[in-house]
Amino acid sequence: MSLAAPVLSAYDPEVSAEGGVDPFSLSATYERLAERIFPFMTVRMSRPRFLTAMAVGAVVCQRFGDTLAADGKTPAWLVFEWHVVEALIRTGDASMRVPGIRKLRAAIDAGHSVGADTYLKTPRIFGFTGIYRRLAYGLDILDDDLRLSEGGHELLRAWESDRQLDGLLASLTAAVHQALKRGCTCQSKNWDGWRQITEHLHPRGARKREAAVLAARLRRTDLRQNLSDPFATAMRREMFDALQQHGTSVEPADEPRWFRTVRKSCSAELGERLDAIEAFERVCALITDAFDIIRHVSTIGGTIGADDFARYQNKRTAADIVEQMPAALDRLGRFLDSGEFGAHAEELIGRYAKIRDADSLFAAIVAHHESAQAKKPPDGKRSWLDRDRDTVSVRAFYRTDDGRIPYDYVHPYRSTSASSFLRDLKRLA
Amino acid sequence: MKENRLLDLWSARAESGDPIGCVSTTYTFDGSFFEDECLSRFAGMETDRNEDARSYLIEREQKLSEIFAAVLVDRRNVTTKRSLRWHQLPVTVPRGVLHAKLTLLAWRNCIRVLVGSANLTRAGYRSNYEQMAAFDFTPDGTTPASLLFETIDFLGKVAKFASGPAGRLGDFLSTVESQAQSWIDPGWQPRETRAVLMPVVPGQPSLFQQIAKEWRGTGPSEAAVTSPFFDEGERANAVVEELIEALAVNGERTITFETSGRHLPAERVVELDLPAAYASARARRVQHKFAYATAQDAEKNVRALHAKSIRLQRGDQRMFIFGSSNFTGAGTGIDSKW
Repeated sequence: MSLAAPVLSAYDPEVSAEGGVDPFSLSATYERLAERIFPFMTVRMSRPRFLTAMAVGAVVCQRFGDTLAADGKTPAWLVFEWHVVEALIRTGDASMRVPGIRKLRAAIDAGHSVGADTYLKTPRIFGFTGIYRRLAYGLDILDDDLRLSEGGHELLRAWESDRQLDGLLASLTAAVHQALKRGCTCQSKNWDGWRQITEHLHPRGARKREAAVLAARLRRTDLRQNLSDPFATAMRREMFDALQQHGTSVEPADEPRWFRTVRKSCSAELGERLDAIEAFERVCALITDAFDIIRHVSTIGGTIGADDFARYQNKRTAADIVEQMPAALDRLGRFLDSGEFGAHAEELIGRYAKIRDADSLFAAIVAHHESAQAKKPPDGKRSWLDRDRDTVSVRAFYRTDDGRIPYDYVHPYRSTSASSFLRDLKRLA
Repeated sequence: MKENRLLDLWSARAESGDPIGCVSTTYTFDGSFFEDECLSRFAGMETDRNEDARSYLIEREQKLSEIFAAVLVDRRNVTTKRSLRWHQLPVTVPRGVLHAKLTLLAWRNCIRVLVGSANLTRAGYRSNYEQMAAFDFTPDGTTPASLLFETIDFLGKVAKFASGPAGRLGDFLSTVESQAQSWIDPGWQPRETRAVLMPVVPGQPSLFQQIAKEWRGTGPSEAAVTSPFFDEGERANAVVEELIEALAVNGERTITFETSGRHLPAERVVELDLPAAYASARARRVQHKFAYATAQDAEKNVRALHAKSIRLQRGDQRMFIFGSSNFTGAGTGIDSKW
């Protein structure tokens, strides 16, 4: 028997829960701008064939309705997901990136079954169904309850006609049924279903008809829309077409340059949206550069005041930012003046319009960051910077080098996901 | 004494299994803090509401729908900032307050009892000086179960003064009790260090009477009292007299008072937040000593003393009483206070 002695409380300032990203609360506007060109997608998506797997899962799980597994909490669609991921681990290639694969591989190697204890802790969000369900809904493949929609039937027909399935669906249904009863997967390692799942649902294994359906749906404009922005699907179509014409993948670092290339020959509507992104990211980059200079100088020297900030020399200096800010704000005002973004644009312009020198820029950046942190729910978050009269020092958790200065775009706009989609669908090299 | 982050005590160990439910008692209460920091750790939340608000809401709904969670709060401190996924039960104690800070966390393979001085607030868990102990009960009998059953019994008594869905809390406590009854209980071994719950309940023995009952042989010769709050004047004297009653009758006895204080360089004195009555001892052959904690630690973090304890010793025999009882008449049960 061991009896725990009482402990004295350690000082425990909020670090992990204080908003470790987005120090200026810019991401809400960024997400809305990204949704206007690639609706229903996120930067975490890269494998469109998971949509096929989800459609297959919808058929397999149809007969189980709302039945939960023996653990009392896992729905049938998630039990199906266990089987797909286990199959990819057992018979797929080792380099494949599937959510939760590393943890699960260790469990399977140790002889454990896949179940709630061994799979992802938050599978409804981080499993492939969680990641792709919004797109499955947007492309009308599944409905809100993960049941097959019209597009799901079309996708399955194409998938089946591409392949000799040899009773895969029946075998999967039986396996899911057993797993529901036991609360974990229960097929032996020699079960032929593992091989069949990998053969027919491997993320990189799309064949002609299935790939055609998925590619066509990504281009269609008559499917589900964001109610506030019915033109967004047309923008998605144009972006995918431009990407295909571009002929190669767009990596995150290439995205700003590629957007500028697209802008030269795109529709007026898409042009406006890309201009808005460009205008917003220009201001974001200047603000983030200034903030990173403060963090970096403080990382090296402890505290930093306006004089140290003004003296910093790199590819972008405080003087550069002061000089470039008026034009960036002017552009922001012109391209983000709609009701949806106007208030945020106005706020940014109000904060930085009176910047005249490094002193006022330094003060504005620190004040902006502190204000953004203070407004974070529920009761505000602590600043990354500690103030001491006219100087600040960056807290240990937020120290940084200056490797990313100058930023071009601060945020990624889903082009990398779109590239990966087209590569998997064999529409891009 | 070892320092730990108190919030870590809300997280499961790898072998604890899925969360089933939790119940806490507290005097002051911050509902947002409880939900974001305590409950999220207990339920194993992985997302951060500030970094991915949509995922956070989905995960929160999912996780909280699978567990039972309740907080028994003194009626003066109920909060409006809360999710409807957990229960807040206002407690009205006749002629007293709910002051206990007790938490019971149940996972499938582990039940944990947290006993301490920290309220369910940001200051309590993140910045104050507090004391807390975690007792883990597991199927293989890590800790004798008597302490757990005493805790469940106490929570059941508090629930009787609560308004709201106390029936569901009763069901949860019964479930936990049944779960623990099916586990191995090694019992306390002779000469082994034991842990006993000493609830201060109106109409029941005071803390000092419970100390006297548990102490074996001649009373303690040394006592160290840590408390942030004291009574004044005659009430303060009454409390220290009760303590002296619990000490040895004869011989030299020492009482050390540890509280908040500060060095005043100009006056070249140390100011203690103690009643003047404690400047000198109330009985012959009793000596008073003093120690203090400043409001800033070595890293200049502001830290208020909120821990409460009484340490007793005579030779090899020692007793350490800690939890929510201030060294006041109400806190020690001379008045009516839980």
